[in-house]
Amino acid sequence: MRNRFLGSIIFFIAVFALSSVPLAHSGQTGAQRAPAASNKPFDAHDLTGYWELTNIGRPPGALNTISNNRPPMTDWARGVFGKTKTGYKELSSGVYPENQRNDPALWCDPLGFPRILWNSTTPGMRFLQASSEVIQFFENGRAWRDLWTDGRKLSTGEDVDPRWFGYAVGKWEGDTFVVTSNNYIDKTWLDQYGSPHSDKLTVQERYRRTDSDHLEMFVDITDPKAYTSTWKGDKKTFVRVDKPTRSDFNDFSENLCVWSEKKVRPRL
Amino acid sequence: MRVVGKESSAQTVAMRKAVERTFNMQNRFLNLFVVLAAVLACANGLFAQKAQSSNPHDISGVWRMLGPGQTRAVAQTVGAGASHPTLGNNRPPFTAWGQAKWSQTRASAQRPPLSYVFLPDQKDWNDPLFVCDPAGYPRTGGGNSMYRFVQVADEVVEFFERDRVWRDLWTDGRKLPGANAKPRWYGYSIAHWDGDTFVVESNGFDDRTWLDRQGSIHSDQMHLEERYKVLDRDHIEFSMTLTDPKAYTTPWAGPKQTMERMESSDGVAPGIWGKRPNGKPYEDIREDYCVYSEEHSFWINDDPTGLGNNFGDVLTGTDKK
Repeated sequence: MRNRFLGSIIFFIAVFALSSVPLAHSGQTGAQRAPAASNKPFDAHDLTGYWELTNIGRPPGALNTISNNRPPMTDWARGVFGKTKTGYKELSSGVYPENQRNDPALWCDPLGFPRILWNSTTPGMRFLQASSEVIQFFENGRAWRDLWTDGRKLSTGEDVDPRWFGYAVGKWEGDTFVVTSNNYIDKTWLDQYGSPHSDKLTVQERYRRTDSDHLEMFVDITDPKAYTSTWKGDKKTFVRVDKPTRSDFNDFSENLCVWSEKKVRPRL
Repeated sequence: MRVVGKESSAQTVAMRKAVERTFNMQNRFLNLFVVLAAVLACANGLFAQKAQSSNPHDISGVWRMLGPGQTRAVAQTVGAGASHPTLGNNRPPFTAWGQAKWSQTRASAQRPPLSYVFLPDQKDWNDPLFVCDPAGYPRTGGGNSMYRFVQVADEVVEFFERDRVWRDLWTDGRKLPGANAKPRWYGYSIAHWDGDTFVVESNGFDDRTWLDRQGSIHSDQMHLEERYKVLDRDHIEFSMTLTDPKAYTTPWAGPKQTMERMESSDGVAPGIWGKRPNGKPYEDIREDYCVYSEEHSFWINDDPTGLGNNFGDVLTGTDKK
């Protein structure tokens, strides 16, 4: 009888431990609370699906960028940054009227990475895993990145044609998918505030599924030509969506920045 | 029962044991032989599989479109032999609506009768590509642009170098959207296998795109059918038919073209990724955006800022205003 009683206690403890009742974090005001953990089974090595960025777990006042703690710039970067003109007070070089702003996104320049993660008019991101890569799609601009997992190495040579979205390789470290990328065109901004970068930029991303419906991400920026130290990112959380919400075709909406739509133009 | 003497019994037992040992040894040898033969047969089968074409229902990889009538690239330079997934020159007659729309085009390509008119001054051209409008499909393919297909469970994703965009060719059984679907520059696509042919159907196209450099137009009722017939591991026979009753009086069937498999796009420098252990290049295609702020020759009719400034000066902050 004692064994049966003990067995019942063990059973109830197990049920409680595996339940989806969230444990609220303390001290998180102004941001979304930690997500309710889903107890649906999932493959930690499969990022496949549609994901959208949330404010879950971010510190109050967190900006749309790597983190609020941008390291000091080098002289070179200060020179570039001094020419940027935005309408934002935070992290920017000054607040400018609309007709003077020169954010390259206004002219439909590609947003580049990592800005496309947190400065998109449409926030959808999708991962698709194939045999030699993980493909990262973005709803904004219909952009994609190949995160090659076939063993190839990033080039560190000087004669590489830089790309708006760089070159990337990925690998698994335990349950974390680690992506390293480089050779970015230096015309993009890292965020809407004008944070610059050089062609020496290297980005490291770490993705980990914390449960079936949530993905945590850290992005660190290393750019010795622009910043005196690594710009370490705060944790971002993505939530999985079963069905993309901005399309009736169960796919991403087509969201392209079209320069001819920015002004009135005669149509054919 | 035979009656044997003691000595004979022992001999018989010994003989029997010797025979059993021999038989067991033979059995083991035979078993080993059978196992080895099976292993060899499997290995040969695997090798043969590798030597033959890969799964005929998988078109994953990088492909170059050759011109009508070509069966292989004529040279090994970038874009050589690469062609456009054209509908060809046998464009059907326009409807009244189609004629009116086509009459407004001012193409840069001097190619009557496909082009409405050719004017030598660039200021008179209105090809939407010259303001970096999305090329749309089928115009985005071909030319110097390679294709890349990635085949997964529910779709084949088609990637293009030009404009750096993709199309989802859904194979999960969904139907094309109806007439009320929001038009897309690259339309909506579904696909299925019909024997050895991958058939793609598309609709829902934004009517601002041109089908080619000559200014062939289309309406929002355009429907495309593409057929990718797998000839062997490295060659596909491509054909496309356009049906657009609002713009053309009959369907427009294009010529057959050959697609040739590439190890990688020749627009990607070979040294970028190095080589695989087997000496072959790593697969990749180039990034080819039309960036209006960089295309200075496109600004001939336009001051993008509307402020009377040089566009480049505004971007770098050296403008005076």
